[in-house]
Amino acid sequence: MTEDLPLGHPAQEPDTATEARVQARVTATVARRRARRRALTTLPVIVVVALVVVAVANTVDDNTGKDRRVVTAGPGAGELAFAPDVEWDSAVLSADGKTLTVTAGRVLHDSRRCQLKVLHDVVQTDDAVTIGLKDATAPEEADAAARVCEEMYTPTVVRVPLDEPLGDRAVFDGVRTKARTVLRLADLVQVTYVPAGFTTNPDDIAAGDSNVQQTYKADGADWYFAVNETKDTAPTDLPGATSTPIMVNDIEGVRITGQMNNTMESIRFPLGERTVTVWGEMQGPPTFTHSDELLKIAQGIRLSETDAKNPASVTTSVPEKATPTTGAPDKTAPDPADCPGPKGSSTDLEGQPDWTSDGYHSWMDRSGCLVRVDVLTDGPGPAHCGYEAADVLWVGDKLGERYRTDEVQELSYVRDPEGVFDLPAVTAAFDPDATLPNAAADTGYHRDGIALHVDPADPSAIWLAYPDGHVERWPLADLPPCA
Amino acid sequence: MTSPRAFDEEFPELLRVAYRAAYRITGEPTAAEDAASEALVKASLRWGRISERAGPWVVRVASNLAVDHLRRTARRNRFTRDRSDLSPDEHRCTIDLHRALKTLSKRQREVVVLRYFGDLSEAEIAAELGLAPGTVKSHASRGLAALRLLLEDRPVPSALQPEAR
Repeated sequence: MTEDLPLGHPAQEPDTATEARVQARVTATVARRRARRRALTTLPVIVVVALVVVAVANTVDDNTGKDRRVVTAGPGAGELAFAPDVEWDSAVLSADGKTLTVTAGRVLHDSRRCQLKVLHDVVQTDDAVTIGLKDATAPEEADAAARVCEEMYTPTVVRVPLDEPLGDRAVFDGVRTKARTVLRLADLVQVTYVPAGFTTNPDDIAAGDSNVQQTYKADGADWYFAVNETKDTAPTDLPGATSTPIMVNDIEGVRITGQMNNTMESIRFPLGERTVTVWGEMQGPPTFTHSDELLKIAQGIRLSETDAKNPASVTTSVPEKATPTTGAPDKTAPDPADCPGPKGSSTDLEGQPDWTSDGYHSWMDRSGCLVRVDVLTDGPGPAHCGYEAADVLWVGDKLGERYRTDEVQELSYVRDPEGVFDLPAVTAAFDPDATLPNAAADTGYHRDGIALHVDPADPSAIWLAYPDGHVERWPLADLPPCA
Repeated sequence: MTSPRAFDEEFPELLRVAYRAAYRITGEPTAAEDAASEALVKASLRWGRISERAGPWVVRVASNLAVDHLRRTARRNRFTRDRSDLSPDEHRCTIDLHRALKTLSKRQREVVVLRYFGDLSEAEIAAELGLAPGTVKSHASRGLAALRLLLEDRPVPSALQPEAR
């Protein structure tokens, strides 16, 4: 007998159902592995070598590997905790390079099996990252899953944190040996006009093999909208669709009405090599009532900076490590003078306070346009109060709107590791090596390679992702007065 | 020699000991089932070599897989909050156990896991790991004492730390 420990979990025996399940599983797995061993040992050595070379080179899909458990996706790859059986096509890489988001199940107009529940596991090596997905939909739920997929768009989005920034490592799905496409947020079309209150986050981005969808939602809104971009495939519409011509800026497009019993409306237009569809759907009322907003969103769509330089990059890009700059404008960004926003917008710089001369920094929005400092800025604490060793980031409680107004209050987030503000809780809450929380969203605001992330449900902190991959958490603080 | 029939005969007992060890480590039926299944697959494929000591062998493999699961879970939990399948106490237990096991040396951890989670005797562990019984006893007592202190958040005396062996 062993001692009774104050740790671990109480003993539990497998029940008869478990025993039957494991027996079937072991029998099937053993048979499969033996068959694979036999197949390999009967092949001439040269063929085996050739297969390995092909697998490592990732030049073809190996559909025969669907049931394997050992993943040979890259040199040194380890084992996933299960045999992956769900294919995925594209992964979206977060701004800090440390989170991949993959989409399982039916994506947009792709036809494939649906899942209600998906397990995931990841193997990370110096050369490759393999994200395996396994369908964990219970058999009794399979009919429901199929019905849900039939009736609506229901991807399963899985966020996978990485131990280190992805860098130039290839990414695999554990089912096929061909490397999957990795999309950077900056590679997607940029949504520069977003109605007040609407936000998106990595979980709202679904990527298929030839299409990507960014979805925006707002608490309490009676509608939501999404931006789809496709290449090489023609988008299809739902029953009832009627198209009429519409101009989006100077581009000929179409407005599509009548879908989903008139609760849905789309604007579609070509942009570079892509076809962009901006669509909205009502949550409640029977008829779509946000046509004007939808057009504004469509007019604000821009090609990514990367795509402007390399039109093919949207499907083939591999992220590169960003390098910090020293306050100089981003080389790939448009000249801020070329993109002042509409009067009163966050990028309308006319009449903005002259705070940059005091050391406060200007930030840019997702499209590279300068943002007013009274919308977002950061800088050292006031020197005349002895606070210069701390840094403070100011932003409105309504992100993207000017603060210090009747409607928008300013929030201050603080980096004070030395405790100059004498706020121990704030000093303790600063994390110089933080991890982006699950719900954190890239706001698109950036300066010098630093990206601002927020958790819409948690205003108690912001997260800054730096070009070298590290992330800092700055807590919200009520700063002491400093006249 | 390989004997599928013998494996089949021993299957229920092997599953029981493998599942039991994995469950005590993970506290998750699904994870325990996964670990036990994989251990039994490996056992079946190597039956000719391990059939004489199949019990300790599958406990060892299942335990290692369960500890791997803890490691992955702990890593994943840094990023996700979705642990709805575990109660707060179970969740804390899993995390604490992972942290505590991490502090032990590899050999100490193996012995502790097999002794106190796998319910193997010191003689079985000695045979399985190729150690002298006295060494197993020493690893087990030191590892257990260190674990207890760690789980109670008390400093671990240097004599109990891995490098003091």
